[in-house]
Amino acid sequence: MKLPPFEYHRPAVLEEALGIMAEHGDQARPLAGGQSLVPLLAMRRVRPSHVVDLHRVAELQRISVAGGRVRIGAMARQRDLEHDPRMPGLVRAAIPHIGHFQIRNRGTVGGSLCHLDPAAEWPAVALALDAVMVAASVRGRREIAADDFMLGPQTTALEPDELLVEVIVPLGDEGFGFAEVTRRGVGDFALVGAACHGSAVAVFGAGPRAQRLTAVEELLRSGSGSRGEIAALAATEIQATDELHTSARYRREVAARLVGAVVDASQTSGGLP
Amino acid sequence: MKVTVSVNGRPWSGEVPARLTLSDLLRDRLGLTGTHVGCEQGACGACTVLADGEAVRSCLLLAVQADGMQLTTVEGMGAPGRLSSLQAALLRHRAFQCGFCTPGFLISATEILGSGRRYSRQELRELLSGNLCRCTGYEPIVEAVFECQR
Amino acid sequence: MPTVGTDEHELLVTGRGRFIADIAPDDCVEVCFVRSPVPHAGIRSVDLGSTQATWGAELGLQPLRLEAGGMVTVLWHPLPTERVRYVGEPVAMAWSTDRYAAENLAEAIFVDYAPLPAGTPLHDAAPDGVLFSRAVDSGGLDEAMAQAHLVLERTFKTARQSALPLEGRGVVAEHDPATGVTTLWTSTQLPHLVRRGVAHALATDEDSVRVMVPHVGGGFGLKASLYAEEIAVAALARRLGRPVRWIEDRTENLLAGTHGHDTRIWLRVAVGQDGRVHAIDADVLSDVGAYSVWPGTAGVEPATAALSLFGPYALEAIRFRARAIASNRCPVGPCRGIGQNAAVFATEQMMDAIAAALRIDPLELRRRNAVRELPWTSPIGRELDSGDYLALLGRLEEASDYQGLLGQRAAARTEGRLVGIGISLFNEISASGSVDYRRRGVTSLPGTDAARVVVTAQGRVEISTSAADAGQGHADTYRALAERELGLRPEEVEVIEGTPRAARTAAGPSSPAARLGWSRASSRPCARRPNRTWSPAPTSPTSTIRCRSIRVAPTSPWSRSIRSAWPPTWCATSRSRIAGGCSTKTWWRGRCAAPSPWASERCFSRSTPTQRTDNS
Repeated sequence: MKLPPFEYHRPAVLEEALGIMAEHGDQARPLAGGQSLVPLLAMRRVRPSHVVDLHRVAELQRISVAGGRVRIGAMARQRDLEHDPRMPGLVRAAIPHIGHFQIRNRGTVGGSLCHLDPAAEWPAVALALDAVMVAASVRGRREIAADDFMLGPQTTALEPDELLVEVIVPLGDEGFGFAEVTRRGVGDFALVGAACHGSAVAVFGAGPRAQRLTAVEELLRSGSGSRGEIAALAATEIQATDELHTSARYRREVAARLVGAVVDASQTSGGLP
Repeated sequence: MKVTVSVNGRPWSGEVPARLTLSDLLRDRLGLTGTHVGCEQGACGACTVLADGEAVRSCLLLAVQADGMQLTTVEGMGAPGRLSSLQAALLRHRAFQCGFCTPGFLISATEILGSGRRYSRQELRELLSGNLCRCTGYEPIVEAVFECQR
Repeated sequence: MPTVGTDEHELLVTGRGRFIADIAPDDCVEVCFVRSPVPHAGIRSVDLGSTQATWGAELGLQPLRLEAGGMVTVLWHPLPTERVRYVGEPVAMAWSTDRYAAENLAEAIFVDYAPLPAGTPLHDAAPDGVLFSRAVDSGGLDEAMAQAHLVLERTFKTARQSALPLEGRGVVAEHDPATGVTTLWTSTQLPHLVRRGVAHALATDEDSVRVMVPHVGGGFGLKASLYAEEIAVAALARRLGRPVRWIEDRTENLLAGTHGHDTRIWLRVAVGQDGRVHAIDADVLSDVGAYSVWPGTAGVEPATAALSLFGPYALEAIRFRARAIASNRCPVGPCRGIGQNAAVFATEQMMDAIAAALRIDPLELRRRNAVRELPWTSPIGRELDSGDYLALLGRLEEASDYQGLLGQRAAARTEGRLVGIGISLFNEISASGSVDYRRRGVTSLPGTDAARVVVTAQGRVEISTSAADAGQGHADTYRALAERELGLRPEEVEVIEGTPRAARTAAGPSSPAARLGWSRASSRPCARRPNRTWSPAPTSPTSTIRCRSIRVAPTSPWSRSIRSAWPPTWCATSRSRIAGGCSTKTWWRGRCAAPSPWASERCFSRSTPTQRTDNS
């Protein structure tokens, strides 16, 4: 399990990084925290000819607030966001569930959102926040809604020459809730999980990608619907597939119950169920 | 590519291939074999080192990424006859058997203890869950770290 | 671990241990294996892709075979040249200056596999796939079933597992053409059997192979088998004339490190009205993968499981059939508990089923069934030498606050929470040695261990065994025993395992050397024990006496006399007998050859009563 050979780039500014991406396109992989990419490289599951290390591009780590929105640089580390008061409560609630603290010391929000592990927390959080991804290339920038950004495991809507540079989330808090179920406890990959922000509800770990539950959200917005009814509706809406450790049925049923719990939490304490 | 690092207070400089992991740099080039490799996926924690004071998986860092960093490995923590207080606590509590996971635990515990906070045993169990041990059952490790909290 | 001083722990806690991956001789090459990606296929051809690669056809390795009672003898070719039988089986190897480059070269190796249809038997000698079969019948089973108040039948299954030591396997081999000796460092639990197996596979004698054991980062049974990689790395070192190193990664460990368990037990019990289990009828089937592991054999999992069923319970009749079935999976070897996990699981689940059927409290049911008076021999001849199971159950009831737990369970259930109480009473097979091996009909291997206690000319005590610590704390244990039995302080004791200086298991019982040892020893009046044979007599002035089949005795009258007779300080005159009580006892039960006149070391034996021999 040793990495295959590749050409290593260490751009100092974004323009340089984008130039490399433009030149090498789909033969290039950006290296963010490395907590997901390096294992793939070690197992030789991916064999990019070029690896573009983004750690020296300072502007990708910047966090700024403007117009009621928080712009998070794609290279912002999980550990830095965990306690940043500018982050929505949902973000600060979800991050401690991401791996272990040693992983969070290097892992980045951009890396998680581009890797799109079906069990990852960030994609569901981004969906529930109606986050906007900012993609950049030598051709310019464009904004992509979170739901449009996530196509499937490790598959984003980014063009081969694009980099994710920013994630935009709302400033200020609505009621929120976050919960996940793991096999062993804190730090393990989630079996399933749910996130709620205001009336937005997302589930992760049940299928190939995180999913918004629009029917559940409609029920929520209508004001009626008990916790049990919400969970029951979620169970019909969640798309689940069988997986090595858990059946589709387990994923659907447990995720539905988590939906009930996080909606409850968002309406009461605004936090964790 | 050229890499310059400071390891346990000592500078080291050399040419390395881009794909060399930090764990392999430390073990094979610097001869610091106390950092162990158990999975090369970041899951087991045996390879954990301090990079600029933060615990990281050295198997998931490229050596070239460590350029300019201050690294601490288990060799920088104490020596036979001159144990650190954390090492002495692990010894007292018999918190290791085969010893393979021990360096990783020492490094992770160093960051945990460095926060200055007093965690409960349950919190410590969760914090230490990023390091796997196949021998001890974890209890003596948790006790040793708990005892070291000021 | 070679010589272990009392600061061994300080080495480990400061990261100064020396594990296999920490050993890299100068000029060493690093190996990467090419492993089968298919479960069952013929090998049509191998294109090595470079000059730094090889495979079985070039290395000329001898196949190994195991013979034991109930076993179908199949050959195991360490690097197969004709057929692969499981995903992960090593087929070829590439080498380079480091593992990164070796992996690149390994990618250039092309093996042309011809997949075999599903259901093709793995071994011609076992067309039905049964590698091991053993049936035992104490008699009386059918009558017991006919007369039973209740007969229950259940099937239990334990999943296939990996012992998953945190440190994977690894081998470093170096060949010295001047002496013809190949030295292996390997992360193993069985250095002497590895030596034997490697020597056989390389078609050389055991004295031409040395095995050294470094610090081992856990074994748990996964390192208690001989591996193709150990043989292949040794062979390559001999061929290249350079040290060769292989350190496995986690993927290899999961694929090709022996697996464990994977046993199905069908169990039928004959129960009386009072819950007493009178008889059991069992069929134990283990999926042992593609080969019989060496030296454990394919029988180790199913036979141990069958023999462990209802271990602590007093049965009147037992009938079982234990079989090992081959499959296109990684071979199953010893794995933490071996068959006992499956057996205890089946036993205790069945006990709970009986308790539920007869409405008897599960703890009470175990009390009614536990063997009451020990020593006790089971209907099939298993000997329980000591224990007090009733007292143990009493302590369990107290320590767990069993009545309190029952209350908690009832309360939880009224709330709709499903809470259960699990009870398990079990005993564990131990002290398995040459006698058991013979009983099982294992003729390929001696099944012996060796231990040696030596007082050096400098007055230190060296304790050495043929075992190899993998984190279990052998050194601490031996020192504690030395303190208790001989009154020694820990710092006076050195422990040696895993090097050529360590006590060695000898050749088989029929070797001429053993006969010589026997004859030397017989000149002294000694307590005799049957079935013990002795290792070669000392042949050099500094050699030591070796004894076999060691069992450490509990405190005995002999040991107390030693403590009083033995002075804490030593006379250090070289090459002469050392003053002190010639002990009676205690490390060894059984006979030990007397110290030879020229030996500068002394071995404790039971052969002579307490006496002091002064050297002054």
